[in-house]
Amino acid sequence: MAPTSIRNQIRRLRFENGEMTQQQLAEAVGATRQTIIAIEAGKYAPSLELAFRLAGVFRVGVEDVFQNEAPGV
Amino acid sequence: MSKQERVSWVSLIVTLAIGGWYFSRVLGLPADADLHFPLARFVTQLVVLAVVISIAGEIALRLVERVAGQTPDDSPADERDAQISLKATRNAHGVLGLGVVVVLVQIAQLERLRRPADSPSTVLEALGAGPLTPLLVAQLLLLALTLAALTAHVSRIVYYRRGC
Repeated sequence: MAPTSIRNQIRRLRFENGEMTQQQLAEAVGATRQTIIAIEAGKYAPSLELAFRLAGVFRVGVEDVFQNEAPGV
Repeated sequence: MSKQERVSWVSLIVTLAIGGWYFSRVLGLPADADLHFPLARFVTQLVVLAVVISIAGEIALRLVERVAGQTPDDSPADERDAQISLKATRNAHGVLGLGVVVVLVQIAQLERLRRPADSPSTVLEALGAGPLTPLLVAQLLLLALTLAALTAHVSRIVYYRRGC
């Protein structure tokens, strides 16, 4: 199972926002801690809705949280 | 480990244990055995076995997590869990469909190549010698269902571990 081509800045943003834990972020966006771990590790690409919720927690745009590394994009 | 992954591990262990136990018993029965009574007794034993193994498996996995210094995650299922469940169910559906086709082909083949002189000694041999009785067909379909369930559990575990 190939990891997603979406890169993210969630770990950096967590630390920049009061050293938020994965559990705290998970509770804030309505996901499980395991899902946050999988997203940070690039093993799971979140839905558009979850991506916007994550960006909302950090008060940044979605593009500041996720970047597409797929070729040709 | 998430709650859903833990459930998948327990379900895999339960299915392997019960499926292995059931088919090792039934397939070893004499070919002319009346399967009605053994089946009724097996089902009762299977239910008890399933409950015991499920509880023991859950306790064991929680103990392993605590020994490893992890806090068990009992959060409710989210979108990732739903996606993994959907993909695992799709895989299981494919295996079940393939199993049913194999059973239908087996029935047709054994009817066409009927060999009355063959005297199978066990249920397993009877499945390969034919003709297939309704109870024997039921065993094959049950095997297909068991393999489909195993496929679903293994798929979930792989997707949780390696990503989807």
